[in-house]
Amino acid sequence: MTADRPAPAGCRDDRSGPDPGLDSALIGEIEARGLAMTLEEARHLASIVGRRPTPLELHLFDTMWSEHCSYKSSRSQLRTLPTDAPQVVLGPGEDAGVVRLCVHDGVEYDLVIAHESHNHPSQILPVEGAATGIGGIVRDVYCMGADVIGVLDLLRFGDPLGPRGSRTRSIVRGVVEGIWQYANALGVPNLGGDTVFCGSYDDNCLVNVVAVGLARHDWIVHSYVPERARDEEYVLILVGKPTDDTGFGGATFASAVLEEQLGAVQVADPFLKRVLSEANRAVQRLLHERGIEFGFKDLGAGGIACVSSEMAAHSGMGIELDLDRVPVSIEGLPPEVVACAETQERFGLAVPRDIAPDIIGIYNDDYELPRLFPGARAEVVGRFTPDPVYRVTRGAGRDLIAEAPAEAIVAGVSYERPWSEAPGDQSEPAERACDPPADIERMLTGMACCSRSAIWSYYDSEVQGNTMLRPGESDAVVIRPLPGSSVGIAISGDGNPFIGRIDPFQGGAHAVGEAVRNVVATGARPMCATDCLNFGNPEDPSVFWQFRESVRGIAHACECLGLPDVSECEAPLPIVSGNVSFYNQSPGGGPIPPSPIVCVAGRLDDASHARGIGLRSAGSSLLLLGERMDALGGSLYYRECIGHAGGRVPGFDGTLERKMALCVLELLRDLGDDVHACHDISEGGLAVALAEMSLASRSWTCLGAELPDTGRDPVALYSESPGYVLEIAQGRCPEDLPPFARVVGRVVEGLVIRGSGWSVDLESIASGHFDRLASVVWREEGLT
Amino acid sequence: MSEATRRVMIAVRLKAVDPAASTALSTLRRTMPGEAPVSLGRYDLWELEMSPGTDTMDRVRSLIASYTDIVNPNKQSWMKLGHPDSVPGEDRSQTRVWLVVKDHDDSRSENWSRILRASRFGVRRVQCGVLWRLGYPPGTAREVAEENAMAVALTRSRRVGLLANPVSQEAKLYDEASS
Amino acid sequence: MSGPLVAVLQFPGSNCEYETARAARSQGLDARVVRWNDRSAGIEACDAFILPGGFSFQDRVRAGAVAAKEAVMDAVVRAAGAGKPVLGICNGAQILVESGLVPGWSAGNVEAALAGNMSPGRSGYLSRWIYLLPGQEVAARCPWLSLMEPGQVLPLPIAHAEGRFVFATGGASSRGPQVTALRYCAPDGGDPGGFPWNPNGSCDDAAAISNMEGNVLAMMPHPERAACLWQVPPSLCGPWGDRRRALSGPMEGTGPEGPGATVFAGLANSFGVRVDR
Repeated sequence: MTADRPAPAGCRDDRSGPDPGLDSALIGEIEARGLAMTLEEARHLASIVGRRPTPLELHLFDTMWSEHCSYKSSRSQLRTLPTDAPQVVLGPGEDAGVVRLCVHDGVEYDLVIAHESHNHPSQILPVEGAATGIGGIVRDVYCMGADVIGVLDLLRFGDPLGPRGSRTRSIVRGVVEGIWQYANALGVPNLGGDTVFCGSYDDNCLVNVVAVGLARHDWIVHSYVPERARDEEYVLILVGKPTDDTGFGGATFASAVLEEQLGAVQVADPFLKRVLSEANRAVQRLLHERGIEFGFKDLGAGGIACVSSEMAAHSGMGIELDLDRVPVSIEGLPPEVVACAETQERFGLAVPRDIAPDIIGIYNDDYELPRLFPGARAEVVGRFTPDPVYRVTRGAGRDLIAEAPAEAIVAGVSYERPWSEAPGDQSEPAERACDPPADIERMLTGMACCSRSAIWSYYDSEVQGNTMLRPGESDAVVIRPLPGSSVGIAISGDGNPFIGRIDPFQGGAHAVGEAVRNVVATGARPMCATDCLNFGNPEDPSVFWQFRESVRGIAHACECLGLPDVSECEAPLPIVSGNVSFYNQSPGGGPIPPSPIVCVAGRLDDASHARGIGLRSAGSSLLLLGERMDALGGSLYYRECIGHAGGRVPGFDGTLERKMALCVLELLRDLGDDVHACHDISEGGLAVALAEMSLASRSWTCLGAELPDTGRDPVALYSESPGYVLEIAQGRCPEDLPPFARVVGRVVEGLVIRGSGWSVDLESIASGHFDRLASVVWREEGLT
Repeated sequence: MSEATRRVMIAVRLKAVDPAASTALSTLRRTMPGEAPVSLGRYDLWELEMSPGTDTMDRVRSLIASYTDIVNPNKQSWMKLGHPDSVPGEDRSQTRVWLVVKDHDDSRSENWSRILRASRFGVRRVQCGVLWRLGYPPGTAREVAEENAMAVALTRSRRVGLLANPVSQEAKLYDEASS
Repeated sequence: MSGPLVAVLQFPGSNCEYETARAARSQGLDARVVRWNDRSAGIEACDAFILPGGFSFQDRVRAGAVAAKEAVMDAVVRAAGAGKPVLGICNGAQILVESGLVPGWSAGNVEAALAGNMSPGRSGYLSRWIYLLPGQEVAARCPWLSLMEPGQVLPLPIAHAEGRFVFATGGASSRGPQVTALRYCAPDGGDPGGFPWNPNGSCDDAAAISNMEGNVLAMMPHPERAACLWQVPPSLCGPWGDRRRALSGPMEGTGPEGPGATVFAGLANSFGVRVDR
């Protein structure tokens, strides 16, 4: 703080020399306010502001320096991820990543994608946690100027049949309800996602959420105030729900005794969000049409304080925020609560002062925000300044209650965490009994691999009218987001904790590999990836080792799996958005298994080539890509049929993965509709892949598979080493196959898988496969 | 209901402004200004028919502790009807009317009945519904308040009624004194 | 665009308005999305109205109940009374029921309800494809269904939590069938026999009901999500599934029509508009 300025209110003990009392004051503040910052960080803050920090500054920096906002433990590792490729418009850094999609009717369109976690809130408040997870991620995409065209959730739950099954079942029901209540009401199609059950998540469920959007390339909006604001005054408009005390939970200001702590619970409001998104479209259209540059950012952690400082600092500017102008729903909130509360459904908009009344009119009059939610409205709450200082005032006297260099607020902190190698158990089972009929039934009807249709039945996957292949019909959901254009988008999110637990490097690499395979199996070419890295406490050296290894695995796989249209281009598959979630562990249960979750979005030039998994005609050939390796560690077969985790996991072979993916895309291009179906090999290996392809034909015909050469070999049948199975029309399979491809069988009449000397009647398994999840979770049947 | 069966009514409220209650109140003020209440509270209602036993409320409490679907203490609080002596944030001087709205048939109640019958808490049947608390200005005669409450409850047309559609739902006044 | 003017009413919380307008436009109708409070839109002059799907007012209190009381519904009630075609899809159907526009046995009275789905072991929202048959007599009166043949099986998706038609007691069973415009059926057109082909326990297997005149139609399934053949699931059984499985590229524009197109083509047909495709 410069000497010629008055000190902010409440901080008259400004001084320059060392202060023996400062430490104890800071310790007191940290404890009384429940801050996460360390004393060291608090001292750093005091040196930035040059005095004892105000309450607002403490909360603001506490948020900005949190793991969530600053990536302070992970930043050094995240730098190793590939983020650039020719199609990338915007990599990680703003609210969402952006890649070029296509040109349609002379207009260039981009795909916008964001990926976050909402793990801790969902464990405590399943419905609201999952709902606000969607609410937050769609805001990230909306604020890039995009329409949200889909969301998907990647879910990791505890064991619904385990010792904490009762709580887990409630969480599953609640999370699914939160997802459908929010996304269905918002009118955003649900694009599936995946669900894993494992006792290691009993105390820490994972709710990762991805949102994808579509934007005109020339209408992409950035999350900072434009450069023009140096010449023309720009103001900050705050729009949405009135600010309450969300995120403070009433605990930090016990002095403000309210009869009832209303507002401490985050209530997700898809209704208000839907109206806001329509109003935002109208506002953005107006601004674009008038050629006015603007900035737009959603409010998340750190609320108004965070959004205003980031919007200013990223342009090297400052801001003066007048807290009295912030609409609130609870009177008498302390200023640090008004500034930092995490009230849902709010956006910040940086626009020239002249246009502000028109913008506010759209929100408050055309879309009637104040009528639709008590206290909701748009309001000018501050002005951007060329002077790069962040200032907050309140009261008639415009008392300064925070003042800091804007740059310092967003600079963050960073740590090099120690790590120590902690590989998982590598032991293999002594014996591997193999009884295909029993094994296949067990795998298909167990919680791990039974159909997720009970979950999808709650999701609206078809709103917006763009959906071509729904969850369960193909390895990745396919949408055609541009009416009249043939372009399709395929999207899938994956991550296998059973591999990651044994070898976190392989866990990371295979998360990318499987998401790529799922997208490729539909006929789409991967464009970009996102990641959410879910781990335990990073201060634990073995957890941090898991984290480093997983990131290394993701980076390696991405370097191998760039599959650009132009083959001479050697760009990687870029990670364009992501998130890190640490501290997923409980005192009793230890950390969750390493759980990197990767989402990949791909493009189909002509979506009519999109392939599902359902078998189409008897007599077709079944073409297998990818050799079956004796690496069953973490496999479904070991877990369900042998009762052993195993230790030898499939090694990620980037060169082979790339060749296989290109082979699938070429076959689909060259053979067209003669490739009837395509499915990647994952949990349960070839046997389960074929069973799923057979079951997917059940609603209109009944087709199965015959495998003459696999015998009772668990490696041939159940190995999860990467691969694909394609159904190719009779007589149409090419002669000159690459060395990793061979015909393993043919399609036969009947819902059956026939090996040499054994046969599985899938019809008798079907009801168990499709109904198991609903019976355990929603009907609580068959519990012991 | 057998003689020994005991019915317990649990009302669950959000520890935040209930959006449905605020929308309902503003809609009623606009469409039926004469009959609209001045305050409106909304609760999830769980009617539990408990098997005989002296420890009924203990079993209800354990049941509630086991199923966060019914009450999640992180967002909701609950009370047993009949002892509505602690309803925070309410002007007790108002004349208040309690209105129970239940669907004639609903899968949710049937499913919960099936699940909880199989549990160890001795539940015979569950019926889910909504409990509305309508507050009228201090001094309003009870009969007038009840008449107005039923008027805003029963949907007859676009202009009349809101809280229940009598074609598929029943709406009954709940007498807090008699319970 | 010329052609009959169709207002697709956007209530706060609607969310199917754009694809619904798109499906209507592809049949030569001049469909426009109109905000609920936009008094400059001149909706009195519109030739037909569509209330699209979504969650108006987030289904607070009861699906459709709050939107039914919005001022814009005054105009819809007048238009319906004047015989103009009005279609409510999903949440739009819930609004029409709560407005008393259907079944309309006695003018203005609420005589039906769309109650919570009833199905064994399950409650709440349900998304799935179902099969429909046109109701005898009624479909013929209904401009939206004017192109449907008797006995024609129509697959469409549903996505709702409250889609069970219940009628006011006292002759519901005798009066119900007179207004049942679309009925859930088995894939082969036979009796649905309960869940899942009657997905919500609806009385008389009703998936759509009209008023007695036939100009107002409240339907729970979503025709706009099935206006194009590529929107149909490849696993669907029956002729529409066969057509979908035979669909092959290259696919420009919207491609061949799907089963839902008939609802919008029916309206266009009633205005004498035909689109060559």
